[in-house]
Amino acid sequence: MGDERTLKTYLKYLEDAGIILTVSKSGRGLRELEKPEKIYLNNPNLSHAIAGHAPAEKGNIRETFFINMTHTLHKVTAHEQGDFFLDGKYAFEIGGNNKGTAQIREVKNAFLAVDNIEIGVGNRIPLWLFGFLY
Amino acid sequence: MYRMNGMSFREFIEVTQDVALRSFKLDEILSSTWETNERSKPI
Repeated sequence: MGDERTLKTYLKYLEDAGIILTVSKSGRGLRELEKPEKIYLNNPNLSHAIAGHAPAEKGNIRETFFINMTHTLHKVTAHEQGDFFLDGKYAFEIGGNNKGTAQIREVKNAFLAVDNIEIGVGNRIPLWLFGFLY
Repeated sequence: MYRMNGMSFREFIEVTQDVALRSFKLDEILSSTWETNERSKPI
């Protein structure tokens, strides 16, 4: 790897090809050659394919599902307290059904996207609902 | 877990279960869990 600019260029190629999704602080993406805050595979299917017979890491699968479903219609950026910040307005923490609100208690417009629940209450939204955004 | 072959979750369910579903706006999803008479109903 030649230098940091080369690395960012290669990451941009992977994102353009639909292999990865990157999350940055500003949300301008790799076009600005900004350092990405987080890097995910494009969709959970890729995670399972790469993991093979080993179980893919659930927390990562949940976050990959969430960003894959939301990035199409919304601007997804990194958030200091939560996992993601949508449209500069809503903060999201992703987790399983034991996930508490401690991490985002002080954050305005904060929601938990929770796996393994069927019906949400208040700011606990079932993760599966985000699959119906488009 | 979610194995969707690049489809959206909605498309995946439509294809595998042969049903037609609608999509939701983000604001609809975020307001669907607050308990008012109308919104406390499961979608």
